[in-house]
Amino acid sequence: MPAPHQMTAGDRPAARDSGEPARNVTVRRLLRALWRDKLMLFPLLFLVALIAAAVGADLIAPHDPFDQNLRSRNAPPMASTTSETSSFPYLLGADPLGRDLFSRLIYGARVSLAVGLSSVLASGTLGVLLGLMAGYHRGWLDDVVMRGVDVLMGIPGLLLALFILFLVGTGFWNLVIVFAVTRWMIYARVTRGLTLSFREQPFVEGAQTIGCSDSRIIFRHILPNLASPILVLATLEIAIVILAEAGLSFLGMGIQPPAPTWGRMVAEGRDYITSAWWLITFPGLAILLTALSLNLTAAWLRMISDPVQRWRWFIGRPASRREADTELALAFSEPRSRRADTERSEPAHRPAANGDHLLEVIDLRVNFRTPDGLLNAVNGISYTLNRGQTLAILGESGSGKTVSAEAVMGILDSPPAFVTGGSVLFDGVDLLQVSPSERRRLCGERIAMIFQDPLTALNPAYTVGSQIAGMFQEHRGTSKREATAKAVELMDRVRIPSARERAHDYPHQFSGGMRQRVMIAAAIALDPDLLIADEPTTALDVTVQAQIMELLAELQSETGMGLILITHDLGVVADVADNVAVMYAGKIVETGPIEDIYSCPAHPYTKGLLESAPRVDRKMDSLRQISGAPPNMRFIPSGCPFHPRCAYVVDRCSVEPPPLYEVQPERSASCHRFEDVMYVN
Amino acid sequence: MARYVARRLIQSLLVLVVVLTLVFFAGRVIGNPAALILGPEARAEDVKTLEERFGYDKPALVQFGRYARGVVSGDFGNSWWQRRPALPMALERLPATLQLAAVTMLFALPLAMLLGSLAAWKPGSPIDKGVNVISLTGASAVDFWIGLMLILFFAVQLRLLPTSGSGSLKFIILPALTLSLRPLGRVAQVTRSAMLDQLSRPYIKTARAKGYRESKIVLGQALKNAFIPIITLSGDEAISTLNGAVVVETVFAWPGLGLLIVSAVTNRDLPLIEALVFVVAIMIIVTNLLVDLTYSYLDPRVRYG
Repeated sequence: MPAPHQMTAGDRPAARDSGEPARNVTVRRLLRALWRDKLMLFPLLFLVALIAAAVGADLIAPHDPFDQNLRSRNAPPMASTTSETSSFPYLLGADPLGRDLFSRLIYGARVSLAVGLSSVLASGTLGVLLGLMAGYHRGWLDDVVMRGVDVLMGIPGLLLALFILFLVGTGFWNLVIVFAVTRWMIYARVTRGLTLSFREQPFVEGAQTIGCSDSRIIFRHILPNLASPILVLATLEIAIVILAEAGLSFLGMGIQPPAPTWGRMVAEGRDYITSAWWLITFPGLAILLTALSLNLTAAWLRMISDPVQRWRWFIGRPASRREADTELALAFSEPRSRRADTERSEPAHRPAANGDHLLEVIDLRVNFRTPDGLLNAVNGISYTLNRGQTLAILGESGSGKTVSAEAVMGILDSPPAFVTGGSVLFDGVDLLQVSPSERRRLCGERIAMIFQDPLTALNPAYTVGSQIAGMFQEHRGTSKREATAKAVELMDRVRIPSARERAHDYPHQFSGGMRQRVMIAAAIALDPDLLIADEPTTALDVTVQAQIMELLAELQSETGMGLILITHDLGVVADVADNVAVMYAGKIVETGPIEDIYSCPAHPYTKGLLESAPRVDRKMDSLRQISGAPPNMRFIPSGCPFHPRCAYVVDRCSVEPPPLYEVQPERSASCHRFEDVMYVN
Repeated sequence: MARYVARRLIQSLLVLVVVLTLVFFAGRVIGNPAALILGPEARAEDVKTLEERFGYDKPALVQFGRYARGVVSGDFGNSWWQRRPALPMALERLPATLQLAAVTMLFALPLAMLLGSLAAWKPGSPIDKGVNVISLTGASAVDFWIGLMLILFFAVQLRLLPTSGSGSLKFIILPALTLSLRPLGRVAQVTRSAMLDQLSRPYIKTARAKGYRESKIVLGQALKNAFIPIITLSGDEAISTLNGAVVVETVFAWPGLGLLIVSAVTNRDLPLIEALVFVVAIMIIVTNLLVDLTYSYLDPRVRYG
């Protein structure tokens, strides 16, 4: 059958097209990365010098490493030589037999590197082959190999090596065999894991469909993609083998005399530890520096071949100068006049902090610092909330509603998120100005929050009772026993059946609705003035959703707390909220009393949301959807961010960002054409 | 729970039987015991006489039957080197090694977990960089050399601590310090990554929203959940202290299993090696069992039926 042959000839580009991961480290990428991380030059240069010394030992070593000279026994470093063959001084001193330590170190490098490289080549080949076969063919072979890996990895490697050497005797090749046998497992495990994941990917499945042979798939398609991780692993393993070889040499089980090895040089110098410190110091330093250089190189290779590591590294770094510049530029690019406009057209929010408001958020801004630059997640939002009132913050995911709530609560993940402006007045106190410890005291005590997914929001390692009781212990210093009693009371209050017994259960033993009740119990434990509920019913069954909302409304009427309800679900909001704030692309686009907005939306986005949701209070022929997708926060459209999706768009919309117009008393919307939206269909 | 332990013990027993069988055949089939005793320069007829005297010329299965009967009654034969029962020799050394391993882990584990947690709490901080340095050093540490350098500094130069041997508490400081370098670095690193994972979980947000102190959030809330990978690695590290113990006990003349293993190997003492393998295998099995039991204690979702 000639057809498969033709196909295999053309499989390479085809496989490329089907998304073969190009994660391998190329020479160019390596050099570019080296230019960025210049400190890596030190370990790399050390390794290059070491290899050069080992290869050219005959040329470089100033003395014959076996040349004994009894007159210069234990000569200190830099002592002038008494040898006949060379007049070079003993750079690092001489050993108890009068042999030049420096020359012996150079020849020792030869042994260490030879054992290290040969062993890693042997163990790597063995491990990668076994891993490939186990991962590709699976079945019984996989079972046998992985069982072998588990057993061997559980045995202390040096003891196993000692045992084998005890049986077969020492020597270079025996050492290589021992390291091959005791160190192949890690390659097998890594290779198998990667092979299993590659098997499922299009470039392998594609090659299979066009009839590539297994061996061709393994060696031409899978193996090249293993290169980076195996390279990193092998670099680490060289260090491990060199250290182990030194240890065996030190114990007298390595390469036998007279060949100089670093480990035995330390062992020989041991007896002279009080009189000749250089005998053990320099060989030991040689081993340490070699292992350190190899480990540093491996860590660096891993970082440049793995984007996740790169991201971690970025996160941990303070803002670089370049980013700070961007931030500055951004601040200037914000036209002052526009801000002034916004403030003028926003009389509903302007009368600043009067004591009536429980919460007043003014021009809050939150940025995300990412490797691709700054994202404006929350772009200057303002709202107020009074005691006993419920404000619903409505928006699609990514609109900034959760981020703004976390900023109010002070629990943003920073980095990458940072509050860059505005104020959050709680009972007249600006939360963004108070000290962290002050803020922490307010959290839980006077402001509480519940979250979307109660399973992940509860700590899996503690009983629900102790998670509720923790509030009393943390803020009131209540004893554990008393706090637990109060926790049971609270669980009763949120109507968790048989609370006394269930207090000792763990979150995973509860249903979704019961877990959310636990969250609520902990949140209301200290009678907070404000409760922020971030999508409290999204992760729950529809039947349970109503019960939870009912519970929240009931608790609110009992305690008179303010409630902020964050949701994307119009139905959830309708019955409980007093006011609504609709968010889009990090801004509030419309705000006002809920009945007014529901009956007569002033922003096309709000209108779109309402038309896309089924309603019982109005006869509807069909549900409409908002065309287009929510904006990528990295590329927020100019002018009004909603204009690309808007049915009312005019030329002005793509140029001039609309301010928040006061459309009715207590109501505002940021749309240039709000009148058309409200009154013209 | 009791059933789980029983099942694990039976499994371990099987593993033990396999290991001892392998060791026996490795010793009798790959190596030649008589040649091992007499060394590489022995004459052929001497080897033959010795084989006959100890029964090494009999079929392997017959020898294995005798060996198996011995092992069941705890008799591994006499040590060739010391000419007394091998198993008691190995067991005598067990407490010293356990003591050394215990001090090492008691020093390294809490410190490593604290450092790793702090590093994860503030990535990129000086503590984080310190953890990186420690784990790099730990991975690159030449344990026998570090031990000798510590002797050079603390014992020879400062005369603060004894150079080697055992006795009062002072003797254990330097070997434990040397031995703890590696677990310290590795456990700190794993704690760091496990904690980075846990600290990004939603329940940490909940804890912050509840107004818990940061110390309570990091060490109370997150660390308890990060324990599983940490304990797994700690078990591995506890087992690998045996690796280090071989070298470190030699450097400090600490009279433990490691030193005896080296003596057994250099004296080509097969029965003693077999007894030592038995003791070490039991130690590994017990450690792994303890690790598994710790899981179920730490994570309420893990329940063994």
